[in-house]
Parts: sequence; structure tokens; C-alpha cells
Amino acid sequence: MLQLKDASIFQRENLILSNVNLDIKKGDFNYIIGKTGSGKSSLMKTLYGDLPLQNGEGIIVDFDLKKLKEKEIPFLRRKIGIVFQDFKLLNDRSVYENLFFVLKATGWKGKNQMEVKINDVLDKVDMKSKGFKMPYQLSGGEQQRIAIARALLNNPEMILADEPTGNLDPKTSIELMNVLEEINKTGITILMATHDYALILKFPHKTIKCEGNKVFEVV
Amino acid sequence: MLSVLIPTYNYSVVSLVKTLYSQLQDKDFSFEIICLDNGSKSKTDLLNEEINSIPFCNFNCLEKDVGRSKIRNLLAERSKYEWLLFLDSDVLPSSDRFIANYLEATYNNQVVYGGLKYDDNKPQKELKLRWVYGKKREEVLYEKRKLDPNKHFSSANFLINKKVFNRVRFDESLTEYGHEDTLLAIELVNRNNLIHQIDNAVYHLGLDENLVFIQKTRKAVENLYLLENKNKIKPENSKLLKSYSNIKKLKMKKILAILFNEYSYLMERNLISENPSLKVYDLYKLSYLCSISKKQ
Repeated sequence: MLQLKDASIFQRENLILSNVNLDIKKGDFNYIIGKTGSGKSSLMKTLYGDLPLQNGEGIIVDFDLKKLKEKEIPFLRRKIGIVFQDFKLLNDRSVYENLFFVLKATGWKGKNQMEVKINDVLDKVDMKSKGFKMPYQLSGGEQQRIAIARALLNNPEMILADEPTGNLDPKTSIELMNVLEEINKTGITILMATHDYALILKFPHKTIKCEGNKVFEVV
Repeated sequence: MLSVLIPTYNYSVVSLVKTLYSQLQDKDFSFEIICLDNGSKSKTDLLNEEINSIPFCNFNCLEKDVGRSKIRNLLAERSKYEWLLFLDSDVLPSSDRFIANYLEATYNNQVVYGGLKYDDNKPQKELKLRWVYGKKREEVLYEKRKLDPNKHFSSANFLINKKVFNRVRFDESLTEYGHEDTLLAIELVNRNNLIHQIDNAVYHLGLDENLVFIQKTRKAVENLYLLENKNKIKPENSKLLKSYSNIKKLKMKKILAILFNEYSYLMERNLISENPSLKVYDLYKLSYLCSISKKQ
């Protein structure tokens, strides 16, 4: 699903992480931890094609990161759902319409099929009754669930979540984690950057740490 | 497909970037948002760092201030995609269809201007002059702009094809405030790249205080004087230069220079008042131009 071999992660000219080796299998749930500035975000950015992989090898959902062309990035983005901390919906349309526009943009045809898909992803995040709501009528936790629903629209093989609980209170964070756990059980691989150690203790999974330009597994 | 380029100076662009990202993430094409601080070395740099955690968005700082033209050229050099959307740091899109509107306009056009808007509510007295100027001069409705499309342009909100941009670029000989967009527009029109107008304004939020705006106005007049001497801007490109050349024909330059030297404080008193007059503002600029040209 995701493999990095002796990869170096650069942000422009600056070397952020070196000798990165990662092997994530289909259906895994992994955390990435590390302080602000430790390279977590840069690592995530390299995985979805925002930063180029300059040294080493990397494969994610069958895309070779070394040979990734700019034209291919939208296709990579479809196979990886990206969720990040401060997700925003467009405020001039309902949740349902927000999701509808994503499907339209990615080439979906047939209103019935699209409706079925939207109901399906809203159901997965336990928000089926909220489709008609306007974004400003939702709480932070609900908005973040919609962010996950949105990431699920194109049947991704993997979800990259960068601090998805960053702005949520502990109770809402746990609810969101339950949603992610359920999604993981359906076979979708999840890689989540976080610095919420309480959450890791409550939902234990393999944890990878970024520190001092290195990436290693911690117990 | 689209690179959004935002130069900034000691100003947080986090909410602008998030607003744009929420519109871009819906689209099925490659995009990036690049923000660059022009060497302000301010605390805002730390706030703007947050941008680096947003997918396909990045923020960097320059070591020193390179001027308003050069930073825009640098942003274009760092961009990856074929369409460049230049936005000022202190603007915010007025619609959720902002990106979509620009995308539709890429069809058949090379340079697209979306327009500027100002809040309808009057600001406090200290910001009044900039607001009145913006509201009455810069906020031009699309219906009016499209009648004379090449006359309306601002670097605060425009889209340009990268190939076209690379042929013209911002004039880096300009390092002081003002007229970099006038020059770019002249260069574009000279090369037969017509400016296409659309109804896609941004709100200009960062209003300068009266005294700062008067300072900037004077800088811009000085710049205009230099540009006229170098023959880069002609009277037909600038209302101020047009009035100036009429004044010269009427042999009234000296009188206006004296007016400025003796009575500029009276004009300034009006400009910083509750009800600044744009007629006074125009006279202030014209007489200042006469006074600097007299000195040379």
C-alpha cells in the first residue's frame, strides 16, 4: 500500500527527514507523531504529491512517487482521501450539495448513483440525517466528520489524516476516532498524524515517530 | 493547472488561504497556493507557518524586502502550473464561486481581471480616505468595466496565463510603491493581450490609515514622475499625467507648484477629515507632481 525506502524528505532545499523507511500494508492503521516542525506535515505532503520525492524510493497506492507527474496528482488524490485539521465546506450550499459538487468534479454521472453514494458516505460517518444542513449549522466535530465523508467519496484505498482532531475537544475526538476505526474495519488503510497521546493510548496502533531528522517506530 | 500566488508583508494570509483551499479542493485538477513574505521578519511569519500544514499550500519568507514587482516575479518563477492567479494578501473573495468563475474565464482568454470591492459600511475616521478612494475609484462594477476593458486592472486580483506573463513580467526597475500594475497593463495591451473583465471581485480589507495612504500617494506620484521621464507611462495611460500635460500647456505648472508648497497643509486637513473630498485628493496629487517636477 505504502512503501518508502531510504527516502529523503525535502521542503524546498532543506532536508527535513533522511533515510525514511516505511512499510504500510493494506488495512493497517498507523499513527505518525512528532513535535511541530519535526517533519510530519512534510512527510504527509510527500505522500500525496505536494512535495517531490527527490531521493530514495516511494510507492503509494500503486503510484511511483519518484516518477509522479503533475498531471497524475488529481488521480492520486482520488485514491488517497486527505483529511486535515481545519477543513472548511463551502458556506453557500448544504452538506449534500458540497458532496455533490465533489462527485461532479471527479466525473460522476447519473443523479441517482450520486445520491446513493452520498447517502452511503454520510451513513459511514453517522451524519445521514444532516445532509440538508448548511455548513455553519454544524459543530466542529460534525464538520470534521463531513471532511471524512468527503474523503470517502471516491472509494479511496487509503486515508491520510493530518491532525484531524487538532481543533476538537477530547469527547468529540473520541467520537471521531470511533468513526475512523469503523472505516478502517472496512479495509481502508489509515495513516494519521497526531500529537494527542491520550488518543493513541485509547486506540492503540503502530506508531511512527519523527524526531531529529529521522523516522522510527515506537512502542 | 492553477497556481495561486500571494505576496505578503507582515500580514496573516491564513484565512485567505483556507478560503481558497475550500474552493480548490472540490476541483479535480492540480493546484498550489504559494505565499511569500517580503522580508518583514515579523511575528506574523509564525502565524503564516500554519499554511505549510495545508495540502498543496506553502509559505516562505524572503530575507529582505525586494519590492512589490520583484516578489511577484519570484512567485511566478516558483510556480508549477500554467495559470497564475495573483492576489494581494489583504483581500478576501466575495463569493464561493470565486475559483469556479476564474476557471470558466480561462476558456478563450489569457488575462482576466475580477474587480475590487469595499465594505459598504463606513469605517472609522482614520481609514476614511482610503475607503472613499476605494469605493469611488477602485470599485467599478463589471457592467462598467466591460465597456472599456483595458482601462481597468489591478494586481490585487487577476488571472494570467503563465506564457503570457513570462513575456511581460512586472518591471523590476520599480522598487518603490505604486504603478507596477499600471505598467503591466500597458505592456499587456501593447502586446495585444486584451484584459478580459469578469464579475468576480475580492473585498479589499486592508485599509491604510489616512496618513499612511497620503504617504503612499506621494510615493506613487514620485514614481509616476520617474516613469513619465523614462517614457514608460504616457498621458493616455494615466488621468493624472493627462491633467499634468494640460497644466503644462496652460503654463500653470508654477502656480500649482506654489499652491502645493504653500497650501498642502490645508488640503491634507481635508484629506484626514471625516469627509475627505476626492477633488481635493486629485488636486493634491496634481499640485505635488508640479512641485516635484519644478524642483528637478
